[in-house]
Amino acid sequence: MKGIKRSTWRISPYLYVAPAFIFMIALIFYPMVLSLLISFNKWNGLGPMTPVGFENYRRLLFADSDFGGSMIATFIWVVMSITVLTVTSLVLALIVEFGVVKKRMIAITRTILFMPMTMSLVSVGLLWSLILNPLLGLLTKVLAILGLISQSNPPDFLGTSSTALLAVFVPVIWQWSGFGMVIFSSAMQGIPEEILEASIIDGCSRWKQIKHIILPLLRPTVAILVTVNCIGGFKAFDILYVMTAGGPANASMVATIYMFRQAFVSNSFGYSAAISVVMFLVAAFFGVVCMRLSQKTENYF
Amino acid sequence: MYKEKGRSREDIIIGNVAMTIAMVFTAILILCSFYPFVWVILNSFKSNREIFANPLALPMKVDFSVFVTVWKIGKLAIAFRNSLLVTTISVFCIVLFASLAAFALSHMRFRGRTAILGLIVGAQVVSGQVLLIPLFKLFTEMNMIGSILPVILVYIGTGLPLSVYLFWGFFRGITPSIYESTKIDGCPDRKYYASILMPLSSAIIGSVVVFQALFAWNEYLFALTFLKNNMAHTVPLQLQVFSSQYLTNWTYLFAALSIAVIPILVLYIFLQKFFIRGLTAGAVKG
Repeated sequence: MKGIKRSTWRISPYLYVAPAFIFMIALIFYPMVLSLLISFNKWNGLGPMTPVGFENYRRLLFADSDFGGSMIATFIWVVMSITVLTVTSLVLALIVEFGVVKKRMIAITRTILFMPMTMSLVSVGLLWSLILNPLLGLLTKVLAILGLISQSNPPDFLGTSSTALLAVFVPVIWQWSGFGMVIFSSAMQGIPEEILEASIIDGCSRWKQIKHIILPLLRPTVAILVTVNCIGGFKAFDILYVMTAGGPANASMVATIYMFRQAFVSNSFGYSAAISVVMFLVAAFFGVVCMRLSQKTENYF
Repeated sequence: MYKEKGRSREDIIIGNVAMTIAMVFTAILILCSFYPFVWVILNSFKSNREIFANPLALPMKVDFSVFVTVWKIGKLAIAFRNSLLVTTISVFCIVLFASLAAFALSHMRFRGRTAILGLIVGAQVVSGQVLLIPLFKLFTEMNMIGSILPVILVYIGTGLPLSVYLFWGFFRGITPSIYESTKIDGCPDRKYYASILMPLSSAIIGSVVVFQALFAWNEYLFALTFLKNNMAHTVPLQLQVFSSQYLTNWTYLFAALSIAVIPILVLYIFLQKFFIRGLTAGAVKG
């Protein structure tokens, strides 16, 4: 084996890896280190940086109620992403895969349900701002026709503090359920046909089949989707920025928007870098927790 | 027909009722997914007054000139050109660099290989927000803010980890005996890569292209930060400028949205297999 090892010690593998590796060092790893360094400074984005030690972190963690508020909004968002999105994705996948739709309609149903995924979050945000618009919105009109809200004085879901965060989440459900659906679908297609056939012969109803066979087998996929939605939830920015920009009165200001505002509105780049470092650690922590849990569910079988 | 064996009449009736409810529910879901697209397109043909009077009604007349107007005043030609440039260049570089790296990582043995793989997996957890401020600092120092170059570089850099990982997974599935036999025949690595490996990999190339193109075409945060110059705006940014500048003109906003959405939608309908497969491949990594 030693001979092989020596003979493979040559330059060419490194040449193949080099372009990708250099890009990753320059645009991911080096900036990450830089972010940490900036977070120990006061910096307005243009002039020189002034070192302030842990001052940014002290202020952030102990003396900034706006950051606390933004973290609460972030956690609400993450919890909604994990629970609501996973359930809606599962429902869509069950519809597509388990006989609600006729065989020849499966492909077209999946194509349509996945369609919102192709839009950019900015387009989705603008579209749903229009749909939720109290004066001309599609949703407000439909709800008014159904008699669920007053026709003369329709509520402004995006402009009200108590509903803003929920209202921005609706388009996320609309767009991302199709994504989870595809993942659940591919997992369901992996379930052996014989198990399902055997259960039908034994007189198992479709509902029982879903409850006792399919759902338990899907546990690892649920874990994957929860992890993806958890990390994605911490990263959410575009749609909130387009639809409410954190308003009204900071009601929908998640940590990413707070970070962006601190940097590019208040010109506190050092402070903003500290927020990003804290956010990264929090997201990484919960991401790892989710992954651990998902490994556990895999061992379960 | 053995399906119905062992099930009572009641069971079947309950099953049928449940099935009907499920089908109605499905129809509503399909309508919800699809109708907003139709709604946007229909409303681009209506005047402000028509939209306010009844946003659900059909337009009185279909006049395509609104799209031409919006295209001109929204400077969408420039935005589309920029988005096309950013997307094609970054996707091309990602596919090239990622496949080269994955080739070496999957087919050759060399010192540091495991470490590099570990870094690539770890890099996937890094979110754009952590990189935003240091990259802004770097690009400001290099005087690159306002051109599309920093955006292209960042899309390549952040797109690489996942792409290398996807290519690596695919290349490992290709039987090593092909590579070994070409080695014995004296075929150089670059020739194996170009004339054997890449032609075998059209499926994974398609997935990576769709996944990264969708990302580059739709990305907002980096574009918002690095493209302060109107001439360098990509489509998502230009759309945003549009909505605030012409906020009172709903027709224009609907028309601009239609213009932004329709190209991708058409592309999606033609390439939907790749879209769905590409995004699944991307997701399983977490």
